[in-house]
Amino acid sequence: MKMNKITTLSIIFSIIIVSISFSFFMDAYITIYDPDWYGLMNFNKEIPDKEKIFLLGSSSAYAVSATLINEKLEEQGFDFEFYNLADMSDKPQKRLKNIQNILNKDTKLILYGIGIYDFEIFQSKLESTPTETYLLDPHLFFKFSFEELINNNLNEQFPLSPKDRILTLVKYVLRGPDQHYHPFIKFDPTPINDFNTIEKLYGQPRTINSIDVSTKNPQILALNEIISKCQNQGIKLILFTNPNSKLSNQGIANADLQKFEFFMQEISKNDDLDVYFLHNEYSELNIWKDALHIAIHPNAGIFTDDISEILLDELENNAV
Amino acid sequence: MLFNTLDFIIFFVIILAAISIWKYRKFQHLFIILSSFFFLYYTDNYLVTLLIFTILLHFYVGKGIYHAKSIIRKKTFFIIGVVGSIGILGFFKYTDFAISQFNILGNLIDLDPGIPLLNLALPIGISFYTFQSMSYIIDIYRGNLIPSKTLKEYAFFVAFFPPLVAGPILRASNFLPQLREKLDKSSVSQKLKLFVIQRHNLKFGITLMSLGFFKKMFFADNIGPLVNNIFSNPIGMESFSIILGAIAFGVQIYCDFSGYSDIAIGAAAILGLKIPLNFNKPFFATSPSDFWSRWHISLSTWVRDYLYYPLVFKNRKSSGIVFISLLISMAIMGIWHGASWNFLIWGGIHGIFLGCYTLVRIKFPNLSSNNFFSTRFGKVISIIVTQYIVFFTFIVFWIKDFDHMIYAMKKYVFLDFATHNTLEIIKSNEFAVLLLTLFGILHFISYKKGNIPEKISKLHTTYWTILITLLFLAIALFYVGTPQEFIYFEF
Repeated sequence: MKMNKITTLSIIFSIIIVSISFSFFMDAYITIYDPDWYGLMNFNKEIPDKEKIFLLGSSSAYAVSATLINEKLEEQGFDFEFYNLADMSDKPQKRLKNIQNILNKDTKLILYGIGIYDFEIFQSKLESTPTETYLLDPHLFFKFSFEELINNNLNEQFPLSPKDRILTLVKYVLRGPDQHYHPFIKFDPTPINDFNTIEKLYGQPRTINSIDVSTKNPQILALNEIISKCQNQGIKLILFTNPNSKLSNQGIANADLQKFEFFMQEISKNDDLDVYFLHNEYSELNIWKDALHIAIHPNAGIFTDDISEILLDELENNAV
Repeated sequence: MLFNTLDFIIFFVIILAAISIWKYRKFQHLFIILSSFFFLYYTDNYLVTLLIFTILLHFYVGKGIYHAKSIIRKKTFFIIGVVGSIGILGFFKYTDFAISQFNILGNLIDLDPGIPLLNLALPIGISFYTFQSMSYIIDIYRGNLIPSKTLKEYAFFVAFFPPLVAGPILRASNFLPQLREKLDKSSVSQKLKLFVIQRHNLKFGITLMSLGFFKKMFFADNIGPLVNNIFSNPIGMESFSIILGAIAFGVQIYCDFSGYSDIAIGAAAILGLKIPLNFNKPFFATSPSDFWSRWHISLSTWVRDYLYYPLVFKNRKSSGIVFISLLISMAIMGIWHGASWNFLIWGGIHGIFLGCYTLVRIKFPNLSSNNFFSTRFGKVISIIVTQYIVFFTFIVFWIKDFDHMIYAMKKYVFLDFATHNTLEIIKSNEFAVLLLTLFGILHFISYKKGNIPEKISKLHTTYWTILITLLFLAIALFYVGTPQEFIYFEF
């Protein structure tokens, strides 16, 4: 019996070690990110010595082409380097862990994409689901019982594909990013799908449970902290709302949308920040890869064009 | 309930905890039976009734056969049992396939039958527990087995959750004596009677389960995308790409299925029950028959004992009968995997290879004792030739579309020696290719070193913990993100 206890304790010890290592490695590439890094195996690359502009946000901001924006900056005679650091499932709470690293990289300006999904809260469906549903699908009982734990905690820590993150980290350490201005995004073109095709391929987009934009929501607290960190270091921060397609809009209640818009306006007023509302700008256009992501495609460049316009306006008007 | 989900981990921990703290231990087995039913109910909801029906049918048929006073009565019970088993399996698994083939045939002769498909849900694990139940009544009929005395004992044998949905297929003659040891109070020590979690079993079981998870989640799930990449549309692919796809699929399905078997065997071992091995380094087989003694052993021995031997009967010296019996047995084994022509062809090809191999052995009995085959070089050549054939058949196992299948098979056999496309595939699937290499090395080590799980479980606790932690870490860090179903769940 004593030996069983030792074995059980060994397993618990293993699980703890694995959990700690896992949470470290999942965010490691962002935490150690350095735009001047070219990887252990590349020694002879030139490192540009320019002030940097970073775009942050979730995968909704993947489609912004940093390469095109850098060309525009050069055309307009601005001596800055633009990087798209968007990262899958990125939310303010997660970004807060590594914002300091980004602020320390000779940073002049940050563009930050915020989406309504960042403030989603999960409400358990446990009680609202009829009992006969559980009889036919007992798995739902388990799912709903632990939904809050799984969605609020595990999913936050547990990215869509740990494998992708760890391979990106290994690749980043060994040979630097494949695309220097898109260090964490495989910036290969993706197809544009019409809305019918998207529905066929990916099904109905999920419905948002509800959003909470009060200071009870840790995401709001994290966003406020990011804002104050930028302001304390004198780094200009511009917010924009992440684009939504008409399909993803179908899953968002009007009341939630209004709450979100009101919150962003309040932030703009209270923190004296520029906020650009892009969430409905492209909803009807045929530029989407799926319900949540604009395609990385030459014909879907409108998002990049708008971001570059926001940036150039800012640089020209405020002479950063 | 997939083994590789949080649901199963919680379920299993609850079972272990309950067994450890249970005061009234005589109800332990009942608890495990009910848990097993819950396990299937959770996965397949109301279709658990089929399992219950199968248990009741075979339990009473088994009793009927054993106590029958006349041959006719014995045969009647036996036929009821076999027809019942095959009827349920056939209805749920093959009805829609049969209807669609009938419709196609009808259209060919302008009959236009247009019979609508029934769209039946395939009950999970039905192929496994049906074969398990059939072996029970066949053994009783042959006089090789005394039937279960109680329904409780038989229900435990059929419904026991670790191997329930994807094997290994248990044999009553192996499993029931172990159960009887635990249920029978007279002949064994107190510890054996009960489901006591013993130290060695716990360590061995956890080791085996961890290796199973490692095989499935680290290797199989990460190699899968490479296979899909090549086989989802093989037209235009180079020969080397097809060979790469075949090897990758062979490794994927091995890691997937033997991973499941390891988890099942490990879970049973923790509970003190021994389930026989299902795989034994199949990629080092030196002949087709050697391969089948190492691959899905529980099914291949089932087919050998209950299908091939009765078919060949007393005619083992007749080449024709041996060949035909092998072909029929393997074709049935193929269609057991699923209602699809590709499985039938897969089984048929294996049957032809096995048949040819057996005929050569019959015609040239001294060939296998030839010095060449006992040299290292001879062995390597035997392994390469056998594996070339085995991987060839994996093409048919994966690809269902006939044009694609024929194209891939041609490319596999008639090499075009082009490399451009293959190098591109390797470049965009570097990680999967790296895993294939790593798998090859580990498989070789395990072939050379023998029973690796047993050796790991006997390590000092510190080293054992380090090794298990490394396995867990590899699983967690290289997890693809969503639990991937085990391939054999479909069967």
